[in-house]
This record gives sequence, C-alpha cells and structure tokens, in this order.
Amino acid sequence: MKGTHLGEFQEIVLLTIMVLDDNAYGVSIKREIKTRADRNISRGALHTALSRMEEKGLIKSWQGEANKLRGGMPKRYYEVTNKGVNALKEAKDVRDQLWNEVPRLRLQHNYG
Amino acid sequence: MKKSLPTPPKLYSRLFKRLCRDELYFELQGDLLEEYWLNVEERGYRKANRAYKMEVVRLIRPSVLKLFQKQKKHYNNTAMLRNYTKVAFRSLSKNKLFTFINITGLAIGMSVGLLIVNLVFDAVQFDQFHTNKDRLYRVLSTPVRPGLNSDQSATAPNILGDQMKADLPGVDEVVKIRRWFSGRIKMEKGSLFTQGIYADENFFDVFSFDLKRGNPSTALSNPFSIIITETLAETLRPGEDLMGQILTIPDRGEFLVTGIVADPPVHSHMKFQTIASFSTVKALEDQGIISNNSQSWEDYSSGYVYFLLEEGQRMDNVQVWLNQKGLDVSNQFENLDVTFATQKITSIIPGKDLNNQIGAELIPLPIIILGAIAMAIVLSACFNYTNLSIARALRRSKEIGVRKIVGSSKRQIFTQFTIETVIVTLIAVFFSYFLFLVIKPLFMLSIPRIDQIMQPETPPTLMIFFVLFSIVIGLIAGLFPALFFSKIKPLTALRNNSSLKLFSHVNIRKALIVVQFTLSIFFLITMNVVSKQYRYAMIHDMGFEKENILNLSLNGNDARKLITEIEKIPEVSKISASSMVVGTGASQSYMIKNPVRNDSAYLNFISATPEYFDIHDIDVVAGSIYEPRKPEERLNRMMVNEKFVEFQGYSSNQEILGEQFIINGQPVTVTGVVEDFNFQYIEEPIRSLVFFESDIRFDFLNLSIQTALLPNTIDKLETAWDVVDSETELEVKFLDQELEESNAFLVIFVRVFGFLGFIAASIACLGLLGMAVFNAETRIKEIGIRKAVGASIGNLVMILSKTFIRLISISGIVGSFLAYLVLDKLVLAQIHYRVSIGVLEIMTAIVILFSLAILAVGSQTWKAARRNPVESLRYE
Repeated sequence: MKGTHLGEFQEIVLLTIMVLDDNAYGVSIKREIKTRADRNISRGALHTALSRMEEKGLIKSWQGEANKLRGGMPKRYYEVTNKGVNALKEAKDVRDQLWNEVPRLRLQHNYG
Repeated sequence: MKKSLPTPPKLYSRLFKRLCRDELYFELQGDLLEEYWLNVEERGYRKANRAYKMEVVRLIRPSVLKLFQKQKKHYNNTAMLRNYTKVAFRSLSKNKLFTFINITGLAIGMSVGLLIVNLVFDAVQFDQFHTNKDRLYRVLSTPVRPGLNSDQSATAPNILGDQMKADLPGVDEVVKIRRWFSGRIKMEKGSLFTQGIYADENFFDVFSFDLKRGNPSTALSNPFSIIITETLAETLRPGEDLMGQILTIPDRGEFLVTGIVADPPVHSHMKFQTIASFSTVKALEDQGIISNNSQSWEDYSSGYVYFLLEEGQRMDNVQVWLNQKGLDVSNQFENLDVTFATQKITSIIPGKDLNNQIGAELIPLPIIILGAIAMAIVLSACFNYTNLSIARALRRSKEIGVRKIVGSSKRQIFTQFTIETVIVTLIAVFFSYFLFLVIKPLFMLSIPRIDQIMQPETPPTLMIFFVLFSIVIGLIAGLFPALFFSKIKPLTALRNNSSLKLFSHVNIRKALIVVQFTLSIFFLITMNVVSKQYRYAMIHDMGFEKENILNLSLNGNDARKLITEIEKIPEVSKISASSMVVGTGASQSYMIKNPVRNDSAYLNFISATPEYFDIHDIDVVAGSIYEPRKPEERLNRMMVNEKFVEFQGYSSNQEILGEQFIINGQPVTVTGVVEDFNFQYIEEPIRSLVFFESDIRFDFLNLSIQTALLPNTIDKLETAWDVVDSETELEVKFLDQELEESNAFLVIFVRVFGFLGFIAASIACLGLLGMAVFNAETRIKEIGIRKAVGASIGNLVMILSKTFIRLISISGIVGSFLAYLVLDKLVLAQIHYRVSIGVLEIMTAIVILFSLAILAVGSQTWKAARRNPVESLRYE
C-alpha cells in the first residue's frame, strides 16, 4: 500500500478545505468543522495538522488579503493539491473496499 | 456602522507575540483575532476572552514556538573564520603604526596584569591541599594590654585548646601547636640550625601533611619525639635511615626520630623543618629550659590552636563559647582584655594582617591596591585600542558596508571585530610574557618575603591563565569597536563617509585621555615624594652615631666570651653587647610597674652593656651609666630615656634618679637618664625606653672600629669568632647599612611606583600619539586650505596641538591635586618624621610628562603642518 497514510483528523481537515473551496483559511476551516462534525478543535491542533500536511505536499497555501477584522493581518489560504486529492481517494477506496467485504448480516444492529 | 473593536486579553497577546515564530505570527494572530471578535458577537466578552486564552495556551507547541526553531546554520563557518583572521592580519599590517602602538601599549599594560594573575594564582592555592580544609579553623586572639598595641594575633593560649577539647561539643579535633622549636641539630661535623614547631599527636589526623615514615597517630605521642622533613634528613645524614635514631639539640635535649615527613608544600601557610611532640613542651618547662607559658592565659606570642569543626556544625556555637572564654579571662586578669575569633584555614592566605603568623602571610589590601592599579593600566591600554580602532572607522566602513550588503549579519560583523581584537591581544600577550619574565624577578626581589607566596618558576597551567587573561582583555578592548562597527548602516557607509557619526564620543575620549594622564602624573609624583622621604630618612638625625659601628650577630653564642676574644683586636676601639640594632624597629618590651602609682605598662627595653652609650654617642643628661658589676647585681640597675621620665609623671630628670620600678617581680633602681633618640623606625615617634644589662637578652655585639682597615679587621674578627663558634659563619653588618635596609620598603615604593608611572606614562603617550596621527590625518584638507591661504607652520602646529595641550594641562592640575591629597593625608600621615610635598616634586613629574606628550603630539603635527598643500588638496 503506497501513498500517504492520512490520520482521521487530517482527513477531515482535507475534506473541509475542499468543501470550503476558495475560502479555506484558519477560522473558516475551524468553524466548518464545528458546524459539520460538532467538533471543537483548537487553532493549535489545526496548525499542527496543516503544517504537517503542507510538509508532505498534500496541501499548499498562499498569503491572502489583510482585513480590518483581523487586526490588519493577512489570511493564509489553503488548497488541496492533486497529491492530497489522491491521498483522500486512496483512503476512501480502502474504506469502501472494507465496507463491501463486511457480511451483510453483520451490518444490522444486534439487539439483545 | 464603525465601532472600535474590543481588545482581547493583552497579557496573552503579548505572550503569544513573544513566543510565536515570526513567520507564523500574522496568520495565527489574525485567525485568533478574527475568531475572538466573532465569539464576542456570538457569545459575549467573557466567553470570548476565555476561549482566546485557551487558544493561546493550546498554541504553545513546538511547531509554533520560537524556542524550538532550528537555527539557521552557517555551513561555511570555518571559511568565514579563516577569512576574518586573514582580513585581520591584512588590516593590521596595512596600518603598521597603529598596530605597533596598540600591541606595544597592550603588551606593556598586560605585563603588569600577568604579574597580578600570577600572584593571585599562587595565593588562592594556599592550603587547598588539606582534606579537611572546609572545616579546619584556627583561633585568633586580640589581647588588649595597657601600653601595648592591641593588634589581632594568629596565636592563642595553648590552654584554650585544652579547654576547647574538654568543654566544647561540636568540635571533632583540637590541635595545639607552639612555635620556637628552633635550635641547632648536632651533626657529625658541626651543627645545623633548624626551625620547627611543637604539635599535638593528632596533628596528622587534622592536617594533610604527607608522613612518609612512621605511624601518624603515635609519632607525636611521647615527649622528646621528633619528626623531620625529608630534605632535612637528607642533609643531616645523607643516604642513611634516620628512623629510630637520636638527634641532639643542645638547648633542648635528645630527641628520638619517630617519623619522616615530606617537605611542607609550597602552598602551605605553615612551614617547618622539624615537628616535636607537644608533650615535650611540658617536659622542657618542668626542666626550666623554656619559660612556663603553655599553661598560661597570658601567653599570646607562641601558641596556636587549630580545630576541626564537626561536619554539619555551625560556627555560632564555637563563637559563643569563645566570647564567654574571652570574658572569663579578661575578668581574671587585671591588665588584660582579650577577645577570641576564628579563621578558616583557607582564609589565612590571602587573609587578614595578623601578628605572630606561623609562616607566610599575604594581606589582601596591597594586592587589591596593586591589582586595581594594574587593572587601571591594562584598561588604559584597552582604551587606546578602542579609541584608535574607532578613529580608524573611516577606513573600515566601506569594507563593512560591502560585507553587510553581501549578507553579513550584525552578529557576524561583531564576531569579526572581536576576533580581530583578540588576535591583537594574543600577539600582545606573547610579547607581554617576555616583559613579564623580565619584571617578575625584579618584583620578587623588591617585595620582601613575597618568595614565600610566589614561586619563581612559571608553571604551564599559569600560561593557560595568561592566554585566558589576554582573551578577556581582548573582549573588553574589542567590545566597543565591535558594537560600533556592527551598527554601521551599509548605505551610509558606502554613500558618504563624512556622515558617519564618528565624533559623537569625542567628549568621552577626551575624558579618558585626561584620566590616563592624571594616573601617570599621580604615579610620577608619588615616586618623587617617596624618594624624597627616603633621602630624608637617610640623613635624618636619629640622635645616635651611625658611622663606623659594626654590628655582629651572636647567633646564640655567649657575648662575654666573644668580647674577650674581640678585645684583642687593636682596630676595634670599643665593644658593647646589646639586644637590638638601634633604629631598625625590632624592639622588645617588658611589663614595668610603677610601685608609687601602682600601675603597669608594657615598655620597650634595650639590654646593653655600659659601653653601649659611648659607642652610639648617646648623652647621659642626669645621673650616671650603670657601672660594671657582678652578674647577680646587674639586673637591679637601669637607665631610662627622657620620655620615660615624662611618661611616669616625674617633673625633672633629677627626680627619677634612685627611684625603684618593678620588672619581672624584681625591684630595679634608676641610675641615670639619657637623651631621647630614635631607637625604633623613623616612622614612629620616640617612645619610653629603659636600659638594663641582662646577659640572656644579648643578641648583638656593637663594635666601634676604624673603617680604613676594614678587610683586615673582618679577617681578624673571623678568627676571633672561630675560637668561640667554629660551626657557623660570622655575620657582621654596618649600622648605617642596616638602617638603610630597614628603610628599604621606601625604596620598594619608589621602584614600584616609578615602574608603574613609567608604564602608565608610556601607554598614555602611545595613545596620545595615535590620536595625534589620527587628528592630523582627518584634518589634512583643512590644514592644506589653511596653508594655502597663508597660515605659517607655527600657526598650524598651534591649532593642531591646542586641544591636546589643554587636556594634558587639566590632567596636570587634577593629578597633582590628587597626588597631594592622597600622599599628604593618607601615606605620609602614617609617618612621624616626614617630609612635606614640595613644588619641585610636582613640577618634575609634570615637566617629564609634558615633554613626552609634546614630543608625541609635536612630531605628528609638525609633519602634518609641513606637508605641501598641493598634495592634500589635489584629490578634491
């Protein structure tokens, strides 16, 4: 199994960036995850995930515009690279495969 | 709707700014702020504040913190260092004059520094070899008795040691030591004078002297046991085993050798050739050979008490106990007030100025003064370096500009200039070392007993300290130039030289020149004044005859026997025996009681035969000299000086004749009064003095002789000496010569200050020379224009040297004032018969320095002023 192994949190961040499309930067990523997954993540944790993935080449970033609402400090926008998309797909494939292999019966909830 | 946004908790914002990596700060802080303001709107201040704080705290992680950021590495470090060195050498060789001035100044200045480094290096090693050094102490005492000076003494009554051992908990061991176990050890042929101590049997448990042979715990148990050093054993009986043999010491008895000890280390405050068991003291006292003092609370001249504090014990208990003892003793004795203190063994050297030291001593004060002076001189050399480097900044600023544009950081420029300075000081210390080798023997010669502290050779470890010292000096000297150069802005440096802020420190530089010259003037004046005092001391009429008197040391031989031998020599006209060489300060004292007034005081005495007064030409002003009598009657007569008459409260010299005083429990009658004369140092006022004739106190013979026949006379004296003592050499010295030697410390003063003055003056002049060169160079165009417009050489020289002359004049005034105050109020104030400071001493110092300075400045300005203006203006 070649390619890059993605952690669960990293996968969510990657997907969120893709969802946000042009508007993926620190605050928006954080808020999106909060609304969709009801997960409160710290900016620190997000920073670690983003910087690791950027190091691996899964995302790239560029400096955006400054904004009065940010104390005049520029945003940094993130975008998923092709490598990142591939990694996501790979992760999805693995899961899909596994889902398909699971015996149908097992999928029903056991009561009792 | 514009309203001002609320600010998040400031402390956290500031903390984050401090900790966060610069390249991440905008992104993260921007996000934090945006989130914060959203939160404020959605959830209110309190929650937003809390969330903000939490976010900041959770951002504290390695990937965000500056602390964990990897330093950018300069992989070409060695190459850069090589480059710095190369550039340093190039710039040094390019400015030969400045390099010469800097290296010479630093070398001269550092040589004094090296001397101090050497001295301190030796001094701090003292007594470090004792394993117990951290809890090994000795007791000091301060006996206060009427009529005697009450200085603190390294000694303590031995009986205190006994009581300490018995009464005081918290003390592991107490060692009693006594000095004056000295005497001649009989050899097969002749005898050898040795110096030793008495010590308790636990001596080797407490001190870490290396006992080579013998049992450390029993060697000093029995009376008349002796331990000798290896060197002494080798001298006494070369190649023979002395263990278990008997050594005879004539005045003491026969001793059994129970141990051989390695020679005490150089860095031991205690030095000995022999150690006798302490029990010997009691035995000798019982036999009446030595006076009965070891059990006396009044003995503060020969006993020592060392003790070993129990581990973990505090000194307080011991001090409380000692205070109580001091009170007890003071209550017990009418004329004695004593206090005890303690001193750690490692603080003996360097340590307090104490009486009755057991061996070497080194008082920190002179060392600190010497160190401060040396430091002032070294710093003055450093200052020259700093001053000249910055003055030369014009030439280096382009190089720095280019370096900075190519990518040098401030720190790299700083490093470069620091390295350059250190290279200079390292070269300087090399020369300085040779200077040091020249001045060290002179230093050791001129300061008495320094050889007990300093070793003549220079151990390799010391070299390392020398190099370290020079590096430190380099860092000090280079700090300011390096800071200055690293701050130069590349654009200004490359665009226009003149806009460099070169002259912003002009006033500081001027002030420092004044300080340098003031220091030099001070040293030179001190030298002059002290040499005047020395000359004065030499011609001062001390009130007795100095010429043609030859003093002969008895070295323990019988005075009367020798007198009968010497009387046969025709060149010797008169002979007397006495207890001291007059005028050299080595006086002894006795407790003398006035039975009428019923008070006693310790007063100086000289034991002398009646001829003494005639030989020294001391006039008798009342009564008559005691007559030669039978030995048993001699002690009942005494002569006194006029001061004594006054001190005892008699109104006239006649009145005291026939009065009786009590010395040593014996009544003594005054037979005559002599005129006052200076029997102690010239530094002391004349004090009360008594004369009597006590044979056991004789240490010298005073011979009045005709000098013309001297070599012949000495031969005859030697023949006479050999009759009485065939074992030792004759020791004779002229009185005037001895007086000169007793004033030798003034000569040392003159030498030391003359030397320092010379060094300070040469450094100051070198600095001045450098500044003059710089001044002439920078003003070259001004001079050219002035000359072209019609200024004469004289005018130009005047213009160029005006500032310097003003500065030196200021130093002249300040320096003379300072020297006058210090010398008149502090140094000379200690001396009773002293000279006054005259204009001559001050003027010679000023004239010397002025001519040197004018030579330095004048040569450069003259050169600059004579230049053809065409040359200097052509390039405009």
